[in-house]
Amino acid sequence: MSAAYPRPDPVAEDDLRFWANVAAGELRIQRCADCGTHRHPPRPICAACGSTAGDWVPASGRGEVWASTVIHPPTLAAFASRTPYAAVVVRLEEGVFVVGNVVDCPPDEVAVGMPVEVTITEVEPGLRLPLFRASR
Amino acid sequence: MTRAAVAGIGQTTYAKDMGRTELDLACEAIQAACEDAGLSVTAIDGLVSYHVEQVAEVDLATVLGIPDLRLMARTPSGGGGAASILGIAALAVERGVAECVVAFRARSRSKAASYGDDPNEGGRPWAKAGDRLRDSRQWHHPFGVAAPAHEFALIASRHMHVYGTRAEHFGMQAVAQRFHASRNPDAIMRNPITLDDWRASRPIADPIRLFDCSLENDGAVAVLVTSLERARDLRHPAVSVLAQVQYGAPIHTQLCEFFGTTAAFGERAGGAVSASRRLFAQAGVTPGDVDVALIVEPFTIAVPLALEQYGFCERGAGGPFIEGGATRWPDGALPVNTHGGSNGEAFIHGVNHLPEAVRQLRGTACSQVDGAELAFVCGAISDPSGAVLLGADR
Repeated sequence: MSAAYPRPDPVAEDDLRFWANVAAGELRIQRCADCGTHRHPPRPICAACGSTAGDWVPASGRGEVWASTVIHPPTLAAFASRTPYAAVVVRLEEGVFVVGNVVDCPPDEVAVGMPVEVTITEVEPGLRLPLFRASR
Repeated sequence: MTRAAVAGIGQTTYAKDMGRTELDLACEAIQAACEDAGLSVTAIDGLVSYHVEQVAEVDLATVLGIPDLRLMARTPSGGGGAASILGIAALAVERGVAECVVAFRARSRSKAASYGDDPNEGGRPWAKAGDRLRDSRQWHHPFGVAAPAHEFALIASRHMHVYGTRAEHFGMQAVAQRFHASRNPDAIMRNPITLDDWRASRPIADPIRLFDCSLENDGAVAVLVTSLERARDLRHPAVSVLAQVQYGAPIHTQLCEFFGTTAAFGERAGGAVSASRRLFAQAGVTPGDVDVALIVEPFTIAVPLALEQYGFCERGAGGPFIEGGATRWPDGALPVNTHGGSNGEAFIHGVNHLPEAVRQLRGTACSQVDGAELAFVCGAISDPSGAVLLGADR
């Protein structure tokens, strides 16, 4: 039995909304209803214009690996059996940054600059995460 | 305006699993700083520390018998604030809010010696986060990104991609610092290493290897700040606080914001870049005037980032700057972390870099920079951070 997977369990309304969308199979990003600036992680105010009016718009899901590492022990207990594994920061087309993993790719082949697209993946029963794969 | 000066430095032994509480360690370091200055602990009227500090001001006042605390302040983050705690102490003295301010940090990573189960207390904070993520960890931990090493590795990968920095550049800094540590009897790591040793050290999160990492150890450090006028009458040559700056910046524990709102390396780094300019303008000096630099580095990647941010070299040139030997004592143009730094002397969240800057300006360092008159200290890059310039009083 491996260690419990770390699960988002937020209390903030915006955070709950993000993960509910992911659970429903969609990557949606907040966009300011006034100035159109995207923002992530979710938050109640647009830092560009101060507006509190926001929409949740579907992300294109396409982006570029902005930063990349291959992680070795020690790490979180839930990930110990998976080392070495790759972790990335992806810059989505909308201009926001998300942390993730690249699936279906050997860890040492994940590289900065690589084009990727999101794939909502059930990593264990009842937990879906926005992961990435190399763009086709 | 009153000018501030460092008049006393104190530290405990640095070691793993000392089995002592952080309060106990803090008291020893603070008493040592007072003894070094030739002042009674009852003279202390201000305490400055990190927001993650677990030792409470009220407990220090009670245990040490400090009768009249007039200033208590904390600064964000851990290693980012290493210079800022000294800067805040200096500001308080300059404004006359307090006359004798101690900046300190105590760490006990040995869980048995810790109080309670606060995530900042004992062990590795990230390993105690649990599997229900409420805070910003929800954007990292589900992807196996949890330790500071993971976050700094991602930052390093971007620097390497943009500027052609090589992992060996970090290794060369690790080797230089371990050489410095080999000359320092207080250092935990007394045996020097080669670049091949660095290559053979196990990978933690590519490109970071074990020998790039700060140590996990216990210990405490305190520095005592008073007026320059008063410091001149005390036991050791006074060390003036010439300039201090802080800047707000996204932290490595929030990588989406880190990469999003301040491009990591200055393209839009705003506050960090202006802080660098303000620092040297305050003191009326340039980076080229600095004799020795103490750069807080949870991982060695932080050294080139700081060298670039504060203008010791061009943006992106930090790796080659290290490769050319500039940061290595005694021949480097800018010896960095002459006590051995966080991977050689000890990891007290960077606060052990402060007494080394003071020793250099007193002329008492183990690896003494000849005639050092101007020292630079900065907190860890990739946090809310800051820097100070310290000058010999001659």
